[in-house]
Amino acid sequence: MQARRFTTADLVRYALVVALLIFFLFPIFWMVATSFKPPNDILTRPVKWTFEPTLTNYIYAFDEANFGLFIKNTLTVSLISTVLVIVLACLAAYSFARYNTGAGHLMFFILTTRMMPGIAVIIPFFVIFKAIGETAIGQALWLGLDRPGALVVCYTVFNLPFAIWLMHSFFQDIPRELEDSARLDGYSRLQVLWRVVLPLAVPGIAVTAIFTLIFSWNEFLFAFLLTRDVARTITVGVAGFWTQRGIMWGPLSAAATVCVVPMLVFALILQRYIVRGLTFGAVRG
Amino acid sequence: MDTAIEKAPGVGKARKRAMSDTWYAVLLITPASIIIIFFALFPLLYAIMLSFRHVDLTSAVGIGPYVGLDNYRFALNDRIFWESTRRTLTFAVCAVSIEMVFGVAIAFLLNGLRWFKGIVRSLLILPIASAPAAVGLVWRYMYHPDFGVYNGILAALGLPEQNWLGDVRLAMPSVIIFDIWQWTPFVALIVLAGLQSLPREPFEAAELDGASTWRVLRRLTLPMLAPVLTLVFVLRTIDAIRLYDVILSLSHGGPGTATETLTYYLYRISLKYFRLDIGSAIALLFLYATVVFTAVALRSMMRVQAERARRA
Amino acid sequence: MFRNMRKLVIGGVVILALLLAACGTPAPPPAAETPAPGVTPPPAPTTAPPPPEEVTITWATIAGFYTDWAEEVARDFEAETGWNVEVVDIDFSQLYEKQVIEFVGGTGAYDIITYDVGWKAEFANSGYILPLDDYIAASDPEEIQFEDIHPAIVEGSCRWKGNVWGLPFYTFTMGYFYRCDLFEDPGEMAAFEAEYGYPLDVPQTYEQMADIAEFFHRMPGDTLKGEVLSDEFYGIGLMAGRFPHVQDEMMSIAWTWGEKLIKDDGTPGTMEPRFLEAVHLYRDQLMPHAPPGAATSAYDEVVGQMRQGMIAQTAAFYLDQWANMVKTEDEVPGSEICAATSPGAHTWVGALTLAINAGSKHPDQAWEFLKWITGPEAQRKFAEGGGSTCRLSILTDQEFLEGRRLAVGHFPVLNEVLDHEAECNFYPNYYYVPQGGKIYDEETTYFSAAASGEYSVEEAMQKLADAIEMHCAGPCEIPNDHLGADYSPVPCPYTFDKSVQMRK
Repeated sequence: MQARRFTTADLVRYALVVALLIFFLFPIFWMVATSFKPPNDILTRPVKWTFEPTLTNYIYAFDEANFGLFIKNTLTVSLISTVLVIVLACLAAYSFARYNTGAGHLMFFILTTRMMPGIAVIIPFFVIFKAIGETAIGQALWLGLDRPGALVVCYTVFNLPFAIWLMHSFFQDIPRELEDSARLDGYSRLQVLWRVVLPLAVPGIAVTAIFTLIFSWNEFLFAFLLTRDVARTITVGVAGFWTQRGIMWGPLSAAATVCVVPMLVFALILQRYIVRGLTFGAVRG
Repeated sequence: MDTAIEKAPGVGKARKRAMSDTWYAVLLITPASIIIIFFALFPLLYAIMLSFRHVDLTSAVGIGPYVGLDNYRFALNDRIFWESTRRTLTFAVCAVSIEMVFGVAIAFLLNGLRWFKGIVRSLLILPIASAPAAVGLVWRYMYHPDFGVYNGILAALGLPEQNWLGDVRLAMPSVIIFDIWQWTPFVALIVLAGLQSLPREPFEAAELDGASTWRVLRRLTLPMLAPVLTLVFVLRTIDAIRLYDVILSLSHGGPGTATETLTYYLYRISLKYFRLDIGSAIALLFLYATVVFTAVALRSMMRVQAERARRA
Repeated sequence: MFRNMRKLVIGGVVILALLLAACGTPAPPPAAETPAPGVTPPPAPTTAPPPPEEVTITWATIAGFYTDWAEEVARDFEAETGWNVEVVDIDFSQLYEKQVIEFVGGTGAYDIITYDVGWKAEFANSGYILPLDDYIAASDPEEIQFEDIHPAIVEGSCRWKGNVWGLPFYTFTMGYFYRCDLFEDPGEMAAFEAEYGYPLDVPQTYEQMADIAEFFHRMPGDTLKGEVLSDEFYGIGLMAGRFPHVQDEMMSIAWTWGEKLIKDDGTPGTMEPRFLEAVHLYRDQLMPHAPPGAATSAYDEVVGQMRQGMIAQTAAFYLDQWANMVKTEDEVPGSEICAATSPGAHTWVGALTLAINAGSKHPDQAWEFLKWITGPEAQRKFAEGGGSTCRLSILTDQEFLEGRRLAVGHFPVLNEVLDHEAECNFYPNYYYVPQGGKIYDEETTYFSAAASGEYSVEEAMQKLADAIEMHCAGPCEIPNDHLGADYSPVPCPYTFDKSVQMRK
């Protein structure tokens, strides 16, 4: 690219970009700001732009509202379901990519399972997990109601279709010849998968991990209905500040910040993988 | 297809002819399939079964006898069902079309940036990564007509303050604005990636031919972006029609029923009235419509995918 | 190819489902025991009580600061018995479905559940909760002091079809709050009387409330109490959002005028002319003088508006919010908050009531806790922290009230409202209807639609009537014959006497 001077066109462009960034980032900024506002400065008229920052809202969220537990639950559930999804999706997607299992129909069917509105299946899920939770194995694996295992399973199920589609496109990009030559060298099929294919598919795994993590972290409906207090997650906890105490906007903002910021940081770090994931792998980032 | 394998020293064990490729492939998909069958297929079948019975879980009836297509008939004659469907479609059409136009514009804008492109792209991810249930509550606070910051800004600028979520005519637009905030970056980033992966030669040729920017845009860029745009459009639509968390946080479906989308109505039926018969019927109608829409819209895209698989 | 495939997939799935269905037993059915309608619910599960140290009693209840306080109070119980009390708090607008899904799923997860008045009949009828008569009979009367619970609460919230189903934890019976400093300002009083022809005072009718709302609605530049306003000041604060409060406000008007949501014959009463007038009054004469936020407000926003000095009065409002409301006096210079009954005192009367889950694994221990937390001792401690108890001995205890204005200044008024309801034997029909819980939710939707103008009043009320008929599948059954011949078909007249107020 030949060097050009900074033109007015550039000026206009960057002015627009700044305006855009303000539009998209302001709500997040406001959420974080409110979380540090003293409670009396929150419901005021006119709006208070300057204030003395305080940690009371965070202290309240963690001490009174047991937020530490919610974070622990969300972390556990999101991380475990992410790992499960990656393992299962890699196996299945590899099968679809290399062997065209089900000739595309099976893959379409898997995708459609994602389209059922969650509310329609929540009660069957409730009953299933109640039944599982009463068995010995269910209890050992924390699979009952109000246990993290139930949410792990749910999120795995919800994310598998998308993950399979994603990994499928990544696997298709890996040249067949690499695998074939490895087979010729005497590696078994499993070894080829493990040693040759998977290392090359790491970007795909990264994308899948990001999306599963973000989705599981942010999910609300199933976490709300399948947990009571032991396995409650952050998103449910944030909504819990809407109470008879009066909507506690301060702690709510603190809770929302704790809920949102980790995912923001995570997304920022791995942003270049995200575009690929957003389109099921159809478009390179 | 399976060539005879020369055993390299120390690799693999001598064993009888390994299972055929087909079995191996099936084995690979088994774990995922089991989970999906048990947790996705069975509840789906159960919902289908319920939709043909009279189910009123909190009454003496419980799961009652078969009533044939009565529930579907009820759903299709239910005014509230159609109204909430209409609202859902209004929401989806408005939100998605604005997001598409806005997003494409932003993509072009970003494409022409010389410095800080990566940082800007990174920052634009943030709305997408925010939990809708949590950030929806924050927006509700910001939209508050008395204490909210949006009205605070309008007042500071001397503009009239709005009753964002309380005015029946503004409530749905307010929800749409939220959705635009959260998902326009989605469109923008994908279209940007599409733009960046376009081949150079046609554009260089066009430049040599002296074609105007508008001509290039119309004849070259947009047609080449068509697959990406279609994909984004379909993905956004599927998600927009299933919107629930946001409605719960922002407006509770109100005022009145002004922002009650189909999924919110479904929540009411299933979890306030526990009428799983009607709820399942509606959910299945919804599912059917979504599947048809997806199949039709993505037909071409999937053909390409299947072909790549076949070639591989 | 994909068109065929789609048909194939859908067709296949449908056929599969029909086959499955034809095979008879559905896949895991929710364990909804077919409840006998009404009086004899299934017997409580008898399990050998676990050793006392091991018991955890799980109590599902409304999230809020009264629950926080109740948790403190419950620690005494834990110390005494060595048992563990686990409180699960749930926001009120989701309390119904969170509890019912556990009932329907047969989990028995919550030992003690909390029900609102409108759900009492449904929970009792469906066998979700245990009747408490035997437990009460077998317990030491001194521990329960049943007669000490206000009769209005007992009838409205605890009894159904002859049994007692729960004991009240706390009440948010409605009253009315206003800025008495404004109402007693000489300048304002003179101006009001000049304009409306009668003295400015606590409104005894809703028409008066409308006049006051109009009178106090001021624009920037107008004066209020002699000072010039820089911001708009509103005549009334309303909870008109799509929350379970808008119906309590609106129904208070209808009830005061003798109208009913469900008439005595079981048909909906929302299309009666006077009922529609009541909704019109709310919509046309009160809403215009409320802040724009009214259309999305729940009760806490109204408290916020009062504390920001934006409103002069509330409509029928939850008296238990007194402790929050009265903080206005610190935040708005020169202000004083007074409580009164709502005009006519025919309003939402009821308590959040605790009951034992029929599926509980240790109902006897649950009963011990229930008895304790609703008992006189715990309720007194609860009241000390501002909890709105239903116990007569505390409500009327002058010594107790002395010096506690900021916490319980509303108790005398609360007592007045409860006394009046008991004297008049006036209990809304829908408290007895087994579909009450669902109807209550429909009320939220349609009253909010009427208030916000989404539908015209007539349209909204017609839709509500249709919804009621749909849920009851015809005329609703109202088992309230025990209320007897003197069951009041019209409200008894009432005038509020200010002498009961606790002033600054």
